[in-house]
Amino acid sequence: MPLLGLVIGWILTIFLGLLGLVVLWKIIDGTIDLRYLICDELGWASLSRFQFLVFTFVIAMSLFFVIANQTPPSYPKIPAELLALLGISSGSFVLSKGIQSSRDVSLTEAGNPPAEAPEPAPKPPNP
Amino acid sequence: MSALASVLRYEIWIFLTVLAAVIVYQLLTRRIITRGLMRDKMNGRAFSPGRLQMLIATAGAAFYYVLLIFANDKPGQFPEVPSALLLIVGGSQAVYLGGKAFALLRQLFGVSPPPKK
Repeated sequence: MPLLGLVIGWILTIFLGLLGLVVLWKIIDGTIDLRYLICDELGWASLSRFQFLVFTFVIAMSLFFVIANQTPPSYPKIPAELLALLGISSGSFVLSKGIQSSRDVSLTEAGNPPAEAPEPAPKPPNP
Repeated sequence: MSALASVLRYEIWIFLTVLAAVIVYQLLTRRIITRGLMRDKMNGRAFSPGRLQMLIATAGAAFYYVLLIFANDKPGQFPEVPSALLLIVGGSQAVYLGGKAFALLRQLFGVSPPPKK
């Protein structure tokens, strides 16, 4: 039985590694396009999404750092303040989206739809 | 089993680090669109002081928290998050959202005209 667990562990580890590799490769070569990663529906960059991205990365990496430094590795107790920080970030994103949507709907109903961001200029081909 | 844990640890480290590096690179080279990040969309102005203060507070809080993680005496535990940090982040978000909500109310009640295209 322990051997079965070890085999399954290795299969999952190799699978996750390959999956991660494929995702990273596709991001680097542009197949997974991150151009609009922090953009809203109109194509403008959104500060709420940007700060949500920053805090998500910081907390995810710190969580992994803490887990990796435990002997043996185990899930740590997450302080309430850290959850509050993530909650503030995500709550701000949701509220900002709600306010923006209300404004866009009211402008559209008034016959003055909000301005969309101009399309970015295509990159010139490599010489 | 320890070899498995080590491999998995390195896999996740490499994935998160490379992903973060790729995103930072694409942000700096503008492959990820950052146009309008400081734009006051509610009033149609090119620059919003409320957004600038939120950007500074976000960057400062994230950087400070990373420093806390690396300076922690017990690396296997999360460091204590100071209440002041929560107040700064929450306060800056409140200022930013308050400004947006106020601008929306002004437009809804017709006090200020909608932004020109």
